Amino acid sequence: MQDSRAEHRSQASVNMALPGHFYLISLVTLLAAVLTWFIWSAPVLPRSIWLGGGWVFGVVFYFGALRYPDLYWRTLERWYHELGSPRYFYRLSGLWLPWLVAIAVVLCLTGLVWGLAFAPPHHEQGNSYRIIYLHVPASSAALMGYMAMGVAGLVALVWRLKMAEIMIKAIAPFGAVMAAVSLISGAIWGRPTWGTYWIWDARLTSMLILLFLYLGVIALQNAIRDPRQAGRAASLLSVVGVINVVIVRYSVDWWQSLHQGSSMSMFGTAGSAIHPSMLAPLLLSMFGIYFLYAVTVLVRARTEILWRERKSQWVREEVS
Amino acid sequence: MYFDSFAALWQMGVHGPFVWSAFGIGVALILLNVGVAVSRGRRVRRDLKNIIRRQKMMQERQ
Repeated sequence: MQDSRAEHRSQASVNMALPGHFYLISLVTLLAAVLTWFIWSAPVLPRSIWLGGGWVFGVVFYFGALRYPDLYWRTLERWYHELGSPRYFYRLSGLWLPWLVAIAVVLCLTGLVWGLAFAPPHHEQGNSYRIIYLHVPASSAALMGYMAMGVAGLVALVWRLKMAEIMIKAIAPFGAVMAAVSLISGAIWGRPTWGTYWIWDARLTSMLILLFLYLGVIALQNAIRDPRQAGRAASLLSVVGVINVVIVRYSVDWWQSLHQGSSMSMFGTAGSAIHPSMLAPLLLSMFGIYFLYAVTVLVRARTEILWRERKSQWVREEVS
Repeated sequence: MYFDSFAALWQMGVHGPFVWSAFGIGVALILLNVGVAVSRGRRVRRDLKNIIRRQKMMQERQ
């Protein structure tokens, strides 16, 4: 009788383990979807190669997960637990930071100097188009930052992971700055190109809402005294606000918009709509801004970890 | 360089004021943000160091 109860309990614990795997699959699928979405917009290779590569990766990943489930889940869970530990994250990010700073500085400087001084002018817009070397990376980073906050918010809400809440707090400020830079540089570009700094257009308005969402997340974190409660509130707003990222992305397709369509998605089989001499510095600036974003996120996350874990022994050893 | 001189780079035809003001504001905001993040990190480390030192002194007195 006792054996059968123990067996039942052990069976129940196996069944209880399923939701965790379900969430892991959901998270990996969501990350893959986000990655595919952004890669889809990348002009480097024709769509057929991305599609083929995506299918190969999908098949290998899912059949691999079916064939070697223990290896896959163990690896994923190990990453999850290790990166979810503030102490481990602090140590690991300390190793990454110098490399990220060096890469960010080199890419940003090369991309901006190339774009401003060496790229040829646009045949219609003249030299005013050079603002895209700041505007496009900033817009893209603002959108990606909010998507990252959405994923972190989901993890924080489902697993109550402290590191996910810390990451939202670390991502939000630079995201807000990126959204502001995108709006300001876009407005300045709009004056010589459209004849106006601002218009209540779908793309511009949804980008303004994105800035307000970032500011809302920051305000929530500062308005609530208890960091865990503040983290949960900010996580919820991060997850809900992701819908606006989709609206920003597709606003130029869904509504009549003064804002041009995405040049970097108009590559198809014919290649990129942007000439390689203009595209190369743009890609360098974009990756430079992404790396700079990563640097600020890690710096902020490390500060937050030190403060939240200030009573633990390892922080005392680290600081003194 | 695409431009003949630094003066031409500065003027960019008629678009110099637009391009340079956009880059000036954007780069300033980005650097300000990075600076704030780094300085807050240093301040927190300094504060924690002071707190730990005070606690040690209190323990020694007791």
